[in-house]
Amino acid sequence: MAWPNKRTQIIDCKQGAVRCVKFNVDGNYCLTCGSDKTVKLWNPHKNLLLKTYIGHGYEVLDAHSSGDNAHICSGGMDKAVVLFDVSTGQTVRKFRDHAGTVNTVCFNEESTVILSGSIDCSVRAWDIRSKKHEPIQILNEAKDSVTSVQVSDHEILSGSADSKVRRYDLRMGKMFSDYVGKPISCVRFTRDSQCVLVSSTDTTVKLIDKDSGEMLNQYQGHKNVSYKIDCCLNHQDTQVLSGSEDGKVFIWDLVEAKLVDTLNHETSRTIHSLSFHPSEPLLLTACADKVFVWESNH
Amino acid sequence: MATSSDDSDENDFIVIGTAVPELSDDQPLQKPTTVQDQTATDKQGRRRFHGAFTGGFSSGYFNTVGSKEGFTPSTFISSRQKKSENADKIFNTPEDFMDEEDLEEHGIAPRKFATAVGYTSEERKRKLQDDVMQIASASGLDMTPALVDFIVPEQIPIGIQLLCKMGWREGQGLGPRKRKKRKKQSSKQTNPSIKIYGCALPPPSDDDQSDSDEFVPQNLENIKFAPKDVCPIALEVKNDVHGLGYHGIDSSLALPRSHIHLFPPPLRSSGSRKGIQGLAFGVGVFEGEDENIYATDSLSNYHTTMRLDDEEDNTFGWTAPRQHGQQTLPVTYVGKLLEGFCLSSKPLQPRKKYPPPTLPQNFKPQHWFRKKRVLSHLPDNLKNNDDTQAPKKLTAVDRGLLLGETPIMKSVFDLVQKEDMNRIEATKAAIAMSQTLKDKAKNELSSRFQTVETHENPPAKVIPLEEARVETLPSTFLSKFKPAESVATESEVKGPASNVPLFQGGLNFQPFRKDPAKQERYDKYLALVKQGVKDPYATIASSHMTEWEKSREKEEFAKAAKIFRPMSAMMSARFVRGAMIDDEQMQGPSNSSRNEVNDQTKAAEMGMFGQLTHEVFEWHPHSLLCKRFNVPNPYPGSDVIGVPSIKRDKFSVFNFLNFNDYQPSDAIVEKIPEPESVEKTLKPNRKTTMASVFKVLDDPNFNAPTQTLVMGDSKGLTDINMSEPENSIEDEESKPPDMDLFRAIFKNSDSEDSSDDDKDESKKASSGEDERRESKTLTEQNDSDLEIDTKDIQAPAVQSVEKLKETYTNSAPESGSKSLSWKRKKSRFSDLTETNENDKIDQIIAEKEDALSRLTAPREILHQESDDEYGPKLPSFLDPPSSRLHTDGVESMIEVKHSEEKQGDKKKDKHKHRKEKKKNQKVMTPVIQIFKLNKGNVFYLVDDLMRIL
Repeated sequence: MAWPNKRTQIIDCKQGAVRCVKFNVDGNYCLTCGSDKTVKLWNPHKNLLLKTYIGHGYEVLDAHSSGDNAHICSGGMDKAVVLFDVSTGQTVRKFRDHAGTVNTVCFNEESTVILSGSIDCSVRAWDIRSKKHEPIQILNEAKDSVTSVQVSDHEILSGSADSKVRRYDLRMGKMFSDYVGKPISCVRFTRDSQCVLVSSTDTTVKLIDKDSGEMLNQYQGHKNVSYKIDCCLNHQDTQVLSGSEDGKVFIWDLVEAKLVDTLNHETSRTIHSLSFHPSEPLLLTACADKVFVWESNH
Repeated sequence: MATSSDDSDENDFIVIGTAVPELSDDQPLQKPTTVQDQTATDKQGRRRFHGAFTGGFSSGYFNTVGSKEGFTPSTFISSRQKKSENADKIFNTPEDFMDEEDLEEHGIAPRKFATAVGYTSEERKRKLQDDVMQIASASGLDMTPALVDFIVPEQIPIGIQLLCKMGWREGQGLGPRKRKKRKKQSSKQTNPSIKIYGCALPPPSDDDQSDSDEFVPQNLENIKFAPKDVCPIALEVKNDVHGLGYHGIDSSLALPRSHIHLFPPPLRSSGSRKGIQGLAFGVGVFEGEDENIYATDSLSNYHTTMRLDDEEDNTFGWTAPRQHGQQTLPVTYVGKLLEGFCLSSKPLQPRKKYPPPTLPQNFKPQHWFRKKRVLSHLPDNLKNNDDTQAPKKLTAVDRGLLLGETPIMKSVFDLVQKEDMNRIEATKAAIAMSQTLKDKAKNELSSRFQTVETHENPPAKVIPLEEARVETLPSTFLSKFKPAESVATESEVKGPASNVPLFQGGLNFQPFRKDPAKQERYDKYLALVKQGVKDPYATIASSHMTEWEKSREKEEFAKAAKIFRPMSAMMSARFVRGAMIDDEQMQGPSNSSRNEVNDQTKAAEMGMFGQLTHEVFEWHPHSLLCKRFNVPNPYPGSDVIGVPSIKRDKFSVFNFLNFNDYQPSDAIVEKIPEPESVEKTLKPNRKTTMASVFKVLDDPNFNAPTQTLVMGDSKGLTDINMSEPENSIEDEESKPPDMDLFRAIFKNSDSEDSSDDDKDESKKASSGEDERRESKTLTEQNDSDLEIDTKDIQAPAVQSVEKLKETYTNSAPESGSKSLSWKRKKSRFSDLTETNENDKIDQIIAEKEDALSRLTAPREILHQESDDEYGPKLPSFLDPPSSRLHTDGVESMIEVKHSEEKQGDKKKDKHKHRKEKKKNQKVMTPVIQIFKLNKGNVFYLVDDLMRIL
C-alpha cells in the first residue's frame, strides 16, 4: 500500500496566502488560488509556474479546471465567479449574482455548468454555454454559508455551515439532506459515488452512506475546529486524508478507520487545502504561502 | 406734447397727449415706416451701424481727406519766431488724428466721465496709509505696526469736501443762497380783490415765505443767506392696512447683513416691460438711450399725485384756466383749491357718523367670561367645583358622567377579567394560607402523608388546591400563574356578570338572537356544557322537534359553541405560555419542528446517523440544468423549480372544527393540574409524552420492555398483553396504533400527513430507530430478519404501556367519542375529579411495570451481545444509571437541557457562537410560526362564522 509520505517539492507560490490548491483533471498540472487576486497554473512536478490569471477583484478562494483543460473557473471574495481561458489567460465570463463571498466553485462533468457555493447560503448553477448572466438555478435550501460543492454526473453535493449535507439528485428529482451536527467544512464523493466523505468542525471526518444517510465510518485524530479544512480520498478510495490545524495531514485507512500516517509539514500552521492526484499516490497540500508536493517512496 | 388752446371763455376741458394729425381728403394715407425701413445715420447722413457693427473708420468728409469746406493743405512755415508753433502743430497723439465724431459716443474713442486717478478707492486707501504714517512719525513715538493700526485719520467724504469747496459750511442748508424777505411782503401775494370774511386764510405755503418769521433787519435786505439746514420730512404714503406707526418685520433689518435674499421683494411694477430685462438685451437704434433700463423700476419714477412740481412748468399739459378756481372760491371753503379743478356747486352729503357708545362709569377695559352661562346646564356639583378652580380638562369618564352614563370602570383592575381577578385573589389567599400550612406541616410527621392529605381534599374548592401547589412549588407558583379555569367556569355559569361591559361583546355573543327560543336552548346548552354534562343537548331538546331537526340543531350548537368562545379563551388556547412549555401542550403540531431539530442534533451527537438525520425532499431541477447534465428531467412539464415548499396550515380551523359533541376543550374546561408531588410518588411513567424520541430513550422504563422484546421474547409480550384483565385492550390493539403518538415521535415536516403512507413510514422509522439503538452496523443486510421482527413486534410494544394507561383512563367516567385524540384524553385524564380513579390506575400501571422489569434481561449481557455482533459500542449515556429509573418526564427534560448547555459551553471561538445563535434562532422560530398561523386562524374563524350565519 503506497501513500504519499515523502515531500518532494515545496512550491513558493508568491501570491500571498494560498487559499486552495487543486490538481487538474489528469493530474499533470495544478491550480493555486492566492490572496493576491490571482490564480496560478503550475506544473507541480517540475515546480514550474505556467501562467497567472488575473481578473478577480479580491482574494480567490477556489478554482477548478474544466475537463478539457480549456477553462478555469474560480470564485472569490469579490462575489464573482470568473471563467478564464487557459491558454490566453483572458477572462471569458464573469458571473456576478452572488450576494457574498464565493467559497467554492466546481465544473460539472461536461464542463458546461459551473456550480458555485457562497456565503449567501446558496449554490448557483451557471451556464457557460449561453450568454446569460443569471444562474440557471439557485439552490437556496441551505440555511447558512455553503462551504463545499462537488458534482458527479447527475448529482450536486453541497456542504453547508448549517451542518447539513445536501445532495441534489437530478435524475430522481430529489434533494437528500443529512444532518451532521456541526458545520461542514468539506464534502467529497467517493469515487464510486456511493458514499460521501464529510469533514465537519467537530474534528471528525465521516463517511456517510449516500442513500440512507447512515454513518459508515468516522475518522478522528486531526484538529479541525475553526477553519475550513479540506478532506479527500486517495486515488484508489482506500484511504482518507484530511488537513489539520496543527500542521499535519492525517491519513486513515478507509475501512478500518485507523490512522495510517501523518504528514508533518514542520509547521504549526493549518494545512487547509489538499488535492490528491487522480491516478497516482501524489498529494498536494497548501499551507500559508506554499504548496507542498508529496509522493510515495514505496 | 400737450397743446393748450387758451381761449379762456369757451374751453373748460383739458387735452392730454399728442394730437392726431388731421386727415385731409386729397392726401392718401401714409403708411408708417417700418422698423426695417428706418436707418440710423450719423451726422453726415451716412448709415451708422450699431453695436457690434460700429467698427471701421470713416475719416474726413465722406471718407475724403478733407472737410466739408474742402481740403486745405497745410503750409510749411519756417521762421525763427514761429518755430515753436510749428513744433506744436506736429501731430503726435492719436487724438490729433481723430475728429469729434471719433470721440463721440459711437466713435472709436468715446469719452466719458471717470473717477480721477487720485480718487479711486485704491488710491484713497494708499493715501490714508500715508496719512497714518505721517501722523505716526509726527507724534515722535516709536510705534509698532500694531499700534499704527489704531490710528484712523479723519475721513471727510468726498461729497462734503466738494461742498466745502463750493462754499458750504457746516450747519447751513443746501441750495442757492436766498435773499430774506420781509414779512409784510407776504400779504402782497394775495389778491386784494378778494374780500375775506371771518377767519383769515392760512398763508399760502411757499418756500420763500416759510422762514419769514425770522427777524431780518432792514439794512440787510440785500444780503443773501444760505437756506436753513432743515431735515426734509419724508411723508410716506400709507399703503398697508396695519395700524398707525406699526411696521412689520423688515427682513433687511431683522436678518444679518450677510443674509442672502433668495427672494428679493419685487420692486417692479408689473406690466411695464414684459420679461425683457437684463443686460443681454441691448438698446435698439431707434429706441434711443432712454432712461436706465437696467435699473429696476420703481414707483418713485412715476407721479403718484396730481400735483404740479414746478411753478414754471405748471401750465404744461394742463389746459384749465389758471384763475378759474381762485375766482369762484367760496368763502366757506378752507384750503387751497387744486389747480385745474373747480368746486362743485352741489355739496356732498356729509357722511353719516356713528358716534362711539358712551362708556359706563365703572367700565374696566378687561373682558371676563360669564361662568354662569357656560355651566348653567351642568349639574350643581360640577358647578361648585369649577367656580373656584380654573376649568380643568374633562376625561372620557367625566364626559361620560356628564352625558349621564354609568361609570364603566374605575381602575385598571376593572380591565382585568373576572377569572383573573379571582385568581389574583386566590393567589393572595393561597400565599397566606401556605404560610400557615407550612407551619402546620412542621408538626406533621412525614411530607408524603401531607401531600396525600392535600390531594384528598375535595377539589371543588379552589384555594386548597392552590395551596397544594404552592406547597410543592412555592417559588415558581407566581411565575407559572396558570389560569384557574374552575373559577372561570363558576363565573360563567352564573351568567353575565353585573359589570364587565368591556368584554361583554365577546362573552355574550348570541348567534341565534333571531330565534329567542333557540337562543334560550343554546344558552342552556352552553351552561350544561360548562358544567360538564354528558351529551348536553339531550336534556334541552324540545319535544316538538323531529329527530332530524334535533340532530341538526345539536350540530349547530356544537359548532357555535366552538366558534363563539370568548375571545380570551380562544387566545389562550392558541398561545403557548412560557411557563407551560413542558406541559402537554407541547405536543401540539407547533412544536414539531423544534422537536425535529432537537432530535436531529441529539441523533447527531449520539452518532445515530441515518433515519433521524436523513431527509428527503422533492426537488425540481431546472430543465436547462438537466439538459446540461445530460439527464432527463425528472418532472417533465413541472413549472416548479427547487424544493416545492409544502406549507400546510397545521393549525387550520378545520383541525378544530370536528363536529363532535362540543367538549369544552382544554382551554376552557377545568383542567386543574395535579400536585406534582403526587405525580412523582405515584406515577413515575405518566409524563412520558413522547414529544421527543430521546425522552423515550432516556426513560429507563421505556428501555426495559423494548429490550426484552429485542431479545426475541415477542411471545412473552403478547402473553403479557393477553394476560391483562381488561377487555378493552383487545379493542385498542386491534385498532391501528395511535397516529398522534407516532407523529410526536417521528415528526417529519414533509411526510407529516394523515395519509396511509405516513403510517408505514413512521412505523418503519420507529423500528429503524430502535434497531439503531441496539446495533450500529455498517451493513444492513445481515440483520434484515431482525428488522422484520422488530417491525412486527416493537411498534405496538413501544406503545403498550401507554395504551394500557389510556385504556384505563378512558374506562373511567366518560369515554366520550372514540375519535378523540390521545392528547385530549390525557387532559381528561388529568382531571381532578377522577383522582381517586387515577390513583388506582397508577397503581395498576406501576404493578405492570414491575412485572415488565422483572422480565428484563440483565443489561450487560445484552450489550455484550450487541458488541459482538455489530461493532461499536453504544454511547455511554444510553445506559442510564439506576438512580434515574424513576425520573419522570419533567426531570428527563431538564437533563436534556443541561446537556445542551454543556455542549454550548464547549464552543469557544466566535465562529461557533454564531452558529449557536443560529441554532437558537431556529429553535425560536416555531413559536413565532404559531403566532402567525393563529392569526390566520382567527381570520378563518371569522370567515366561517360569516358563512354559518
